[in-house]
Amino acid sequence: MIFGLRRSVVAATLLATLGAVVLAVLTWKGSQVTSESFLVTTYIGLFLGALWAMYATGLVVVYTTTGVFNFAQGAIGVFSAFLYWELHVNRGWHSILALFVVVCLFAPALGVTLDAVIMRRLRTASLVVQLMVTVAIMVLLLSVVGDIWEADTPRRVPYLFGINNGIDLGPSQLPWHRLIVFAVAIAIAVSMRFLLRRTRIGTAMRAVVDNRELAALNGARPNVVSSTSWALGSMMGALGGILIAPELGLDPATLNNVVIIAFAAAAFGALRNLPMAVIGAMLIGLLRAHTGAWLDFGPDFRFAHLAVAPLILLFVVVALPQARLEVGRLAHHLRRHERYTKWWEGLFGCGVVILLAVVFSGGWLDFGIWDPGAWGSRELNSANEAMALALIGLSLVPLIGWAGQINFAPLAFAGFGAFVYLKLAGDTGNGYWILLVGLLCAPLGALVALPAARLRGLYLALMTMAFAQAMSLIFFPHPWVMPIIGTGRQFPHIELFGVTFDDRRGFFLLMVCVFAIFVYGLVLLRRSRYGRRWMAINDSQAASATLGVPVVWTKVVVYAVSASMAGIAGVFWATVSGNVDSVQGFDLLIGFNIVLLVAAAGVSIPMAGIFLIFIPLFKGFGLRLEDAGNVDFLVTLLDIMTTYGPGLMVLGMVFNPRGAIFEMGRGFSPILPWRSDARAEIAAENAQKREPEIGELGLERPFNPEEVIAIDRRLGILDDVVPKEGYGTARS
Amino acid sequence: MALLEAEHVVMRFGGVVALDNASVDVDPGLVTGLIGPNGAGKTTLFNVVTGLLPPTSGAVKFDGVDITRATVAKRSQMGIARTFQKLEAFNTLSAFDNVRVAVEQNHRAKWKHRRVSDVAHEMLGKVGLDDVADVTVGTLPTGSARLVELARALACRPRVLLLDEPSSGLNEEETSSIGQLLLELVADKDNDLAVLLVEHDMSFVMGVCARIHVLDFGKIIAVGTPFEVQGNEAVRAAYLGGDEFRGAYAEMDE
Amino acid sequence: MKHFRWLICLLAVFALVAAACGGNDDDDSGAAAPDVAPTEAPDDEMDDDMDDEMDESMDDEMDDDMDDEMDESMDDEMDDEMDESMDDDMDDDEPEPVATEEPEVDPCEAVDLEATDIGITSDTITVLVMADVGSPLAPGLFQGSIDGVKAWADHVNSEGGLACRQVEVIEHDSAINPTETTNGFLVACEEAFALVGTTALFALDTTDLQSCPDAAGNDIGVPDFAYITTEPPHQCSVVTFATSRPNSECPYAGTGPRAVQSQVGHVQWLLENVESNLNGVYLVPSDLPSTIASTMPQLRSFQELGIVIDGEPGVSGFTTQSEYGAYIQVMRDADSNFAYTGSDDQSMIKWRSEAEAQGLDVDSIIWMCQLACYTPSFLEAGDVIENTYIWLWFLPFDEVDHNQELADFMVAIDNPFPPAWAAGSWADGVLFEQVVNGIVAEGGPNAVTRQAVLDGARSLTSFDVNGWWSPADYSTTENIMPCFMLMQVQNNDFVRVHPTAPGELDCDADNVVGLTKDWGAEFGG
Repeated sequence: MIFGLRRSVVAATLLATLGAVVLAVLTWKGSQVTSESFLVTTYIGLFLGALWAMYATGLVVVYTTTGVFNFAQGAIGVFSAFLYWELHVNRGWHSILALFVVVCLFAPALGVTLDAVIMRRLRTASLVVQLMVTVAIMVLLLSVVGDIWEADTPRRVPYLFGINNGIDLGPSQLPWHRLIVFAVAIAIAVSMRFLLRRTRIGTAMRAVVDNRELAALNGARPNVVSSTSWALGSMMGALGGILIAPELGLDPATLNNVVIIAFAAAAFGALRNLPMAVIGAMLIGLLRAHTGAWLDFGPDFRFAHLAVAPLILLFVVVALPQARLEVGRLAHHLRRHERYTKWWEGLFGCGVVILLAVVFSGGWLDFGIWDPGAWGSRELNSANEAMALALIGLSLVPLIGWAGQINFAPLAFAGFGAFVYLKLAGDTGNGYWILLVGLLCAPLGALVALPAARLRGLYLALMTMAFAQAMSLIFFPHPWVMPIIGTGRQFPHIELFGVTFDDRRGFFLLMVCVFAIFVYGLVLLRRSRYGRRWMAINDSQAASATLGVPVVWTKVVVYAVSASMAGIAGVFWATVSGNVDSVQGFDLLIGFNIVLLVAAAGVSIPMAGIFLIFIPLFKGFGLRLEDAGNVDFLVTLLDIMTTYGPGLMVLGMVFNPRGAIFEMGRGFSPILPWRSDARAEIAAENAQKREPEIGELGLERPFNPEEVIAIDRRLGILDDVVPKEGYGTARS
Repeated sequence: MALLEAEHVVMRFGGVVALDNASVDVDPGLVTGLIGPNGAGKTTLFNVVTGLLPPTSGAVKFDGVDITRATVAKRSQMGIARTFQKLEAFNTLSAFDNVRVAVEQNHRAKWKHRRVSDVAHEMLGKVGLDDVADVTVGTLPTGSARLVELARALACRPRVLLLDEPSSGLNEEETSSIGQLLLELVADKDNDLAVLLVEHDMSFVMGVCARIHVLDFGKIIAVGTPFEVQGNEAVRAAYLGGDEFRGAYAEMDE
Repeated sequence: MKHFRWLICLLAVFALVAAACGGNDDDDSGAAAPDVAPTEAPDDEMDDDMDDEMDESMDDEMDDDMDDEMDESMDDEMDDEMDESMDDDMDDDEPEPVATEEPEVDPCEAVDLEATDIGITSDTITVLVMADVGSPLAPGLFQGSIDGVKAWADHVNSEGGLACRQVEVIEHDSAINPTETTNGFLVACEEAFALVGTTALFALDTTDLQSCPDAAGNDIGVPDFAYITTEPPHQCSVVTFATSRPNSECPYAGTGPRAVQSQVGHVQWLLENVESNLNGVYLVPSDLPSTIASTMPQLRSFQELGIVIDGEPGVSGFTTQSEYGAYIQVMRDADSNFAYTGSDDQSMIKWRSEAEAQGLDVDSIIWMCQLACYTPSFLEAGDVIENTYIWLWFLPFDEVDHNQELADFMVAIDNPFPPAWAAGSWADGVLFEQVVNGIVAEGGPNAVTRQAVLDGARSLTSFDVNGWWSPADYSTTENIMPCFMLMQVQNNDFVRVHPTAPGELDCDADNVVGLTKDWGAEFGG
């Protein structure tokens, strides 16, 4: 194993160095390298690295001690930076006071609250739930910032320690601010390392994540420990945000995206190794500064120098040794019978989808006081866009819903599909090429998943994120990929079966049909051995492997299937607007929202995917209502829900990890006349008493002897000395 | 030659030595026991044999072939199946589907002229779970979930079956029927099956095992028939003064 | 667990509904609803009625004799009357149709006002202002444009209205999103007479804009009086008239060489009056292909004048201040005395702050920026931006004593330092007003149709926002506004340096350089 690690690290390092050298030779700007310019560039790089290291330290501390990778780290920084601006600039508090209030009072309070209300409940949750909840917190925090501090006022956060004097470095100088930031970043990293490795609370913190119950029995107080870590992580996020803001300007999205670089840095330290994470941050900083200074990628690759972080992440993923298959992560479920969607139920569902779409868009449903009427071109236009996004969302169902894998790059796959289609069909709009698009996108999905599939799921999530970023920085902006055109449509109207779908309503119905086909395909897929296999690796990779399932390969196949669906959806998505902006069109944040929505729905049953149809339907319906007038309160409600709804919905997963749609399905299925099984199940469930969770006991009061035995059994440390009578009666 | 051999396996986790030069061999046609106090390294050895953990040094041989570097899935396809001490059933799938995944995925399990569902039903029947076939395993009692794991492992038509504490969570009646089942399975020459059993229920172990390996602090301290092992002083010393052991022996004598 | 099920169901429904209503247009719906709601309810019916009426009556109306009479008398008499009677109404944002309350002496009464086209009734003209007000993450981006158009409408209404009708404003948030931008065109097509003050960055597809049918059913498009046009399809739209002129050849295929004119009068003046040998760094905003394509011509034009460019790095909002250190190093190495940003005020602030932090001799360098630095937040940066030059193509906001239009704008906008978007969109309003008044002068208030407005705008060879802005030729997209004025930040204030007399612009013919290149490929990064 040590061998394996070394070999892969050596190979990846050699490959990366070779690539870097070739790239440098090809793109050398030709400007003169003097010792002075080299020094300045290096100092810029180290300073940038220090800023990212601060975020990365927070990430690593929280991950090491709670097992949760906090996507909201950047958003905490954003919120704190805005709060600091509000106190210091807007209200004129002294900078030290404002800093103290934000970093030492607000941030820890936020961290502790997050922990107490949400994070604590996530420790046995699946990776999908853990990740999605932190992403939801990120989105919510950013929405709050957007609502409180509107973007029409430009804001600047001043440098904490002044910028205009410092150490003289020959002709240039090193300002105190930067020196102090650098020192603080390093000091924080060092003290955190010390805290975790050398102190009692640190040992407790690390022990808790490995085995909460054992640590509890040894006297650690898990809740105190996790609150402490969240408070610390949140403080580092706040400090990072406040210190980065003067460098970047106070813009929520820009400030938040910085954290993606910190993700790469944390990954460089394998998410747990603090010194390596700091080195990773410095490395990214140096690479970015030096590529910016010496290399010229030309107009076609004008964002390439920003892609350092995703590339580092790729390097890490390739270099890391294969992960062990985890065992012993038990999830608790309510008793239920497993039941496949019957083929006729699938057909029925698809019929309902088409019917709903026709009824909604045709305005044939009279909603009493709000007679919505038929959709006009504006409603159809918006609904078409939402419909295409719903199709992309469906591509995530097998991936997130069944295989329990995360993909932050559905839009990148969709964009690739659109690109392939553009190159295949050109300006003919021939719809038959779409099938080939599906085939060609599959290898891309496989290629993305391949390096990370052997690692834990979190790396796959990060990998897809890096992929999405790299695509939007390097691939899509290239003029050859989606040439800008002066007039008309980049993507001609699709022509299928001799019909050109140039009418918005026709195109909408075409997409509805594709949606129905996708859903039905998913129903069939779920019933197949592949569907079962994906569910199996979600439940236990180790057990799957011991039954002969090639786990890595299976994951790769799921990604390929998902990418293929997303690619097809991408063709429709690009055709809706006809012209895709190659820079903004594939924004990571849009992807986040789709992923959030699908994950929150908890689409483990294929028919649950149908819920996505309501996105376009409500979109069009909402616009129609708005036009119909006199529904201000509804519009306001929708407003609030648009901003906060998906995030809040995901937070619901904290309490119900199987997702909203699943629970809704359970709630509603007994109503269906042929589902007597569902009625029986609810009755049985009501009769059943739930066993108390052991982890919840003993923390507030001492264990009694039976509980100690129960704990032992749960921990698998049930000794051979336990008296025989203990058996049989305990569990069955 | 033994069907499955672990030779001089060493497994280190950081500074902790979980397995120290442990060698175990398993022959077809009988149930081999692997016992030892908690933390002795029994489960670690299972993990090494099935490929979930790559050993620090040492080798695993199956049917004379060195499989130390083979993947978990590859070993499974060769005929090594196991159950887990901590449950690893597919909680969101039904019991029936748990078994079905095994039948579908394992080449060995593709029994001639038989439908997947028939095989799956037969396996569930063997462990007595017919009536909960369509219940999601995550909602079954622990004991039943254990039996699902057993059925799943059997569905792979293994040549070596590694069972990690199969009786935990079962009542006495169920335990004895499992023992009966194991003995039947290994007795059937067509199966050509070898079973390696980790158990803490001594009467169960002594009842079904033909040979027993005793593991303590990662070392094999004794190998032999149940009778030989029970007489071994080192074994007695390893088990808290040996009381438990004697008790079990006494019970078995009845 | 079970207790939460219904809560979650409820949340799910909310979230679905919310998702349905889109991640982007929420601000629009919230803000627009109060204005839109009362007027829109009967629209569907009205459109139908109107169509019928129109078909029958339109041809006759065009030649109506009475129109001329009315025009002459309207301006003088109506102002007095209406100012008194309407001031109260005007103070609320929502002018009511007042035609019924008008006294008999109103000259407009002499004509039987009719609904001559879509978005125009006997007493109202509806215009739509579309702007990127923002996504949930960045609300309020171009809010200034909406404020500008509303201020203009209030002003026009208080002065007696336009073509004897009251101007009503519909807002639409294009939300930095191509689909919402297209939606804006669609709404305008169905509900508004014209688009005024369009400030949308992602007008990628203008098909719906250009092919919108008028009341007679001809696909002539909606007149679009835009402030900025960034994408070639918008710049070259035959119904779009941008007060911030595109300066570029149309039609254009999107790639390949394109003839573009650039304003260089300001650096010309520097070369002649401050420093005859300029060499330095030009920052190119590289976020979007369109921002690159729109700044590269100016950069190359600078070189035509003999300015040596030591570096032309691309910057974006993601560039940290310390990364500006690399450009400062370039300036140090090349001993630059000139620094120009094609990007925004924040880029100039970061650049100059970093230069100071790096100990560059900032006083020996000419720092220059364009309209984007003419903001209050630029001044907030304090001493660090001292001496920065800024050039404008209109009179600065403090010269209200020298131009009546500017004075009206400043009163109506009610903001001591309004954003440039507000001024640009106000200019759009004035442009629309001038075109409509031209039509009314010739054919009377019932001659105002989309076709007439399009014809009027296309034949407008000189329009200068009543002397506030540089004049521009709206009959071609290729010409640039020839005039400029130059300011410098002195003692933390914008101080006019050329021409020295307030109220004047420099309109020298040498101010313009025209080049034809493939601009996308010019940028080096």
